[in-house]
Amino acid sequence: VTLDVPGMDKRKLLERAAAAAHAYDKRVLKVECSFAEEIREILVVTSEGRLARDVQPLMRFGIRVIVEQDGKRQEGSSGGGGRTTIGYFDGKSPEWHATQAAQQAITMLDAEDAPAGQMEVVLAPGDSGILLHEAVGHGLEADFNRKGTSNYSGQVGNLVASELCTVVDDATLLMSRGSINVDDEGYEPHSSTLIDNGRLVGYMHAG
Amino acid sequence: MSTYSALYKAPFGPGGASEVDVQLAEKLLAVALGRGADYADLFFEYRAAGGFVYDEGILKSASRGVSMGLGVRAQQGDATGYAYTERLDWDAMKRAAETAASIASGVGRPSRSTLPSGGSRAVTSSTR
Repeated sequence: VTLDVPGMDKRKLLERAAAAAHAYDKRVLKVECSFAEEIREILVVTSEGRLARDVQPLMRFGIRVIVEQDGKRQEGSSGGGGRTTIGYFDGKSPEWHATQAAQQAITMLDAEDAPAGQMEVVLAPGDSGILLHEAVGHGLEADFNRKGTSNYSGQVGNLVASELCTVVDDATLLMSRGSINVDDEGYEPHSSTLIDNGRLVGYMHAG
Repeated sequence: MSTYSALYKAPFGPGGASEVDVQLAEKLLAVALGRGADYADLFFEYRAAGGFVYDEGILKSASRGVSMGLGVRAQQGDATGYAYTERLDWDAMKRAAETAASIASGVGRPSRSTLPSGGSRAVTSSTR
């Protein structure tokens, strides 16, 4: 895991990212990089006879680039990681992340303010998943629905979204940040369809 | 590279300094169920984490930390009792299991004066 990699080696990865961002464009003013890592071991034993051990590595690399032109500043960022090792950087190098962040910041220099008001929007994949997580995910947690305090309580089988919309909660994607071999109650995780073509199928729970 | 760490290993894991086996876990669960709980679980967790922040040629911060402990949960009807300890000796773990059981049963927990220093603590009260 990354915690076993010497600190200087990780520092070099951050230095490579910073150098690549500065080399991308003369308007790059400031670069900040970060690296976070952990390893977690759990042992769960329950009175129902479940016993589970797991080792859960996790790392994340991030870069923030600030650019300036004619006194106007913009920023861009890029990052990634997951339940993986330092081998993550074989797929996405520090330079790749630096270029993404710098490109984003430079593009933003010419950006116009978005119009205000209510309108239809198209969400790109990626960070927009956070909106789904907050607006839909929390409301589908089984304990809220058991108590009847969610706007999804009693809605199973009903149309709760556009028929174009299917939402899947999948904890089994290999090396993904939210993936686990076993959850904190000793249950094996699975892939569950929560909303199927707009209809609420079920809530999120263990077991 | 392995997804295991050669440097950071849980003391409750196989071969660890405070290895927890099935027999020990069953003894603790029996304590947690001892006051009539319908369900109990033991949650041992060990976490080693670190990070770096690098800002314009300067290593702005570096961190590294390890945390470890056992949480015991006992459920009796809708009431949940929870207690934890950061020590893995039998007395501390047993104390956490007893405290969780007492909270879940709603019959009051052992008086504070009997708590060993640095021992288990109760952090969740009954929801009944």
